[in-house]
Amino acid sequence: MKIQHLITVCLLAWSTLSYSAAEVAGENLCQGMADSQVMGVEVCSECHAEQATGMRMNPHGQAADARSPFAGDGCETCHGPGAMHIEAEGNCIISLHGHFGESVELRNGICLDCHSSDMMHWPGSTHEGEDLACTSCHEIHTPGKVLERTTQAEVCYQCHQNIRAQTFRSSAHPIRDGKVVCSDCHNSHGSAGPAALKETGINETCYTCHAEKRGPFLWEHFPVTEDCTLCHQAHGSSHASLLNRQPPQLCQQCHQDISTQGRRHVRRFLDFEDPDPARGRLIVGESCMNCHSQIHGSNHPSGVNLMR
Amino acid sequence: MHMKLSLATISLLVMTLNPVAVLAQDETEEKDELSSPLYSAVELGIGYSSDDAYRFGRYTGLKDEGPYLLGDVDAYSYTEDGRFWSARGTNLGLDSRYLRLEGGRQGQQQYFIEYDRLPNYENDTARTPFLGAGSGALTLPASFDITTNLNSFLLPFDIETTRERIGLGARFIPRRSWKLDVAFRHETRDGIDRIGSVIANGIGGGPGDGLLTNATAALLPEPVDYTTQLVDVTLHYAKGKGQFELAYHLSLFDNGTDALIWEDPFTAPVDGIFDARQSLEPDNEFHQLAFTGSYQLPYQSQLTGLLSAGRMTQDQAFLPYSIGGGAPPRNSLDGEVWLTTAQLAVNSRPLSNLRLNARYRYDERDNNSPVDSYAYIVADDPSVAFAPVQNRPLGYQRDQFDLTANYRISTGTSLRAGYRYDAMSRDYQNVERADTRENTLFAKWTMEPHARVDLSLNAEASSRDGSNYQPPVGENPALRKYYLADRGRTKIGASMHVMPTERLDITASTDYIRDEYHNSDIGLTQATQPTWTLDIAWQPRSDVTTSAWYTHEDIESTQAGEDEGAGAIQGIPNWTADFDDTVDTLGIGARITGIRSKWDVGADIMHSRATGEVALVNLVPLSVVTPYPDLKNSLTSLKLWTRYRYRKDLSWKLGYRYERYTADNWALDNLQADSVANLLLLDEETPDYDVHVISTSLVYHF
Repeated sequence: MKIQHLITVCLLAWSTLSYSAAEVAGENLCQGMADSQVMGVEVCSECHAEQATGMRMNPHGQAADARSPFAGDGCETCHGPGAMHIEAEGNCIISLHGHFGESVELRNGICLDCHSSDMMHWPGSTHEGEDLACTSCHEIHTPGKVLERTTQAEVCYQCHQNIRAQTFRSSAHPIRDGKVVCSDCHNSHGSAGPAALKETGINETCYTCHAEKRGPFLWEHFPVTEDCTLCHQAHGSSHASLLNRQPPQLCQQCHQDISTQGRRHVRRFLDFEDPDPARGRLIVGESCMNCHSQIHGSNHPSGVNLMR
Repeated sequence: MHMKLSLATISLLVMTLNPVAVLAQDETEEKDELSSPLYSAVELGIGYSSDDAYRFGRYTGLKDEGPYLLGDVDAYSYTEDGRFWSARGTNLGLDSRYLRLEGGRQGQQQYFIEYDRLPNYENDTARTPFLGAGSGALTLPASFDITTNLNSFLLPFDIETTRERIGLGARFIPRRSWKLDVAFRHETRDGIDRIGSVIANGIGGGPGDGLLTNATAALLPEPVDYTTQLVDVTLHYAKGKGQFELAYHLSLFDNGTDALIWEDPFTAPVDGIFDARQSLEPDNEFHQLAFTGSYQLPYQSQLTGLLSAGRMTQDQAFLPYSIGGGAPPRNSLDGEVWLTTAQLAVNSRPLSNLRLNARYRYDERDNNSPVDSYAYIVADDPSVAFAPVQNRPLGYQRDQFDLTANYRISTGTSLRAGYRYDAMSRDYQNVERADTRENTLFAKWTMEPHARVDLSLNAEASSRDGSNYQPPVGENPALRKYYLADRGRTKIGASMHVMPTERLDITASTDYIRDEYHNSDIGLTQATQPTWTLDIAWQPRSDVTTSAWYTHEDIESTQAGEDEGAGAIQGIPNWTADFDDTVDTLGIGARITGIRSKWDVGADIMHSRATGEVALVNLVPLSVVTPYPDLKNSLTSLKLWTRYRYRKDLSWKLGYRYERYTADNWALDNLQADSVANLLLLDEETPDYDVHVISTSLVYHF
């Protein structure tokens, strides 16, 4: 292919792929809106009294803070100049909820103009990838549910319905009671950790409340040290202690020792009513942990098999 | 009839459940309500719980029949010069009280102090013959004999722990580009948990049996006496295209009880001599420094990097090898582990409808804990000793790489696709599998076929393999541990969101995960998890909102095992177990606001039911044996509430709550302390309850 043809093909492909911002994003198409006159908060409040009043009891509405919108153009700092909005009697204003077709990028860009310093991990985050707008979770004019511990989870459950169901299981963190909230472990704006966890790793997140499990121990239980979620389901489980499975079968997934060591006792436990007295104690109560009590690791010189 | 409220009248109303005093509201106040709403509120009232229900009050403290105080505060204020204060408190009259006070000058400095109390009332039916529950030393009454008089010596105790946290912190903004956050948290966790214990009593059983048939085990009350202190200091700078954050994190854990010592309940007569001792969680310390930075690049791109280094140490003095003594090769572990994380990410929007993300991450756990050879005395019986064993400090290195592209084809239609690579190398001795590698491809298609309909389909496929699997000595050679084993994982999902009208919103979604451990003859061989959800929100009128949701989950798995009895062929499974946990959760809610401009009413119903089934199959000969009972639990909750606005700054609330919980747990049900030979249980009962709670309160708005 000649170079001219190649350039033409590339240009055609480029023009096909890159639509205009307005076409693709469906932006508010009022021409000249950005250059129109700023009207001021008092003018906005003539029709939007409730929102304007709410802002005064809101960090965004504190004019004494040079960073806040009300230290600048007030409502119009975020919504754009309002002169054309008044003339058009409705349209020609930026809706942070996208009522006039504003793209998620445009709306989020307005918030990120000020809040980018807290959002280093937002680009490339899962929520950004799902095209979530800031206003999908946050309310600006009134006290927001997502910033309040007793109502935060309701906001997350709008999309994470399966997590809501897990919190009702018999063994769960006290999320339903509002004592543990999603943001205690997760950073919904993105993080360096897996699953948007606040700390650098899964175990580090768990250790902020369960520091007794950190160790290091003399005798370590390797899957414990590697990843708590290999055995536990953090949002809720039907088994005790948020375990994925009931012992002894959970333990038998990794332990099936053989007779050469003279310590064979990880058996099949098939018959729940097995009369063999040696077997009953391996099933009920704490099951394997009736004896192997230091399941997260042992610091006892004789704790080789986590019994001390 | 017009009547002004006096403080006395308000007090009287708080103490009654009959709130029907009729008060007129000034018409002017109705107009004022909109122009100057009141955002702060203080709530004070009383409630009454109908029954003692330990589990009902597990995390709230509402475990006792009788009255309780109801208190809540949500108040804040700003002044024109940017000064503010706020107070947020919930459950102030209960064991689960929370209070946070904050204040300062927005944009310059702010401070907070916080108190949080979190109970965990797990079970109040436990009983033990041991004296000293809650301490590190458990003794038995002089005339105790487990074979003849156990029941007469069983004493009740509660399995419960309580966390109390105090937090202090501040934020300083010396200049617009800088921000310094400092936070300190002190937490204690006290109470009693349960812990297993075993004493060897010599090796028993026949040749090759291996089971310590003379061993006796007992569930003991474990003392919980933890103190954890956390410090976080974060410095942030942002200007122009760049920003960085330097963060220091400190964790100090102290266990007030280092060891648990006890008398053997199976030895008669009681001789007053301790027979066994086990270590409890050792004190530990963790310091971490993390640097994160980002810089804006051309073409709407951003480069973000993270570098963190953390050091955890543990140097708790060792106990002797056994209750009878015996010095280990060192006084303490002197354990040290370095955790290092390095991550680099590039995010770019080269075209307005195309986003690209690339990320590389490296994690390392460098365990420098000393390695020594330790004599292995089993469960405090010097006659039961095996060959010395070396400890194996766990270390690993992990590389992760992912690429993602998001392409918007048109408004409402987009495709996201990507690739992930995850490789881990473990460097401890005798590891079954030193290296594992997993490759994942994923994609998600989102479309908007109609203005009121959103659809999405997603799929993910992973494959994990690694270095040769080398079963350690003593393990079945055919066993593959599921977190190391070869695995093929498939995930698919679909979601539909429909808005037939402006007032009706319906979301339905399904997800399915399937794991195949195709090279595992013994161990976990397969796992599947289908999930269905339905969510409906309907607002028939502006003052009426209703919602309903339903989720169904099936968590299924199959594992194979080998019991090395007569006829067993090593490496060939002779039993399988199929698990099926089914969970159904349903919720319905409704709310009507502004009835006659004064009343709000609401109702919420929730029901969750879970069943856990285990089906075990003997393969040789093929038969199904006595099955395990199902694990069951069921939770039903009903909440009704109403709110009456006397006037702009005063409202009255009435609430009713009913909750019922039932559970079947074969690990506890129908088991007394001595139901199982050579095992002393705690005589616990599976909790269940049936509770009514009524509450009334006044809310003052300001």
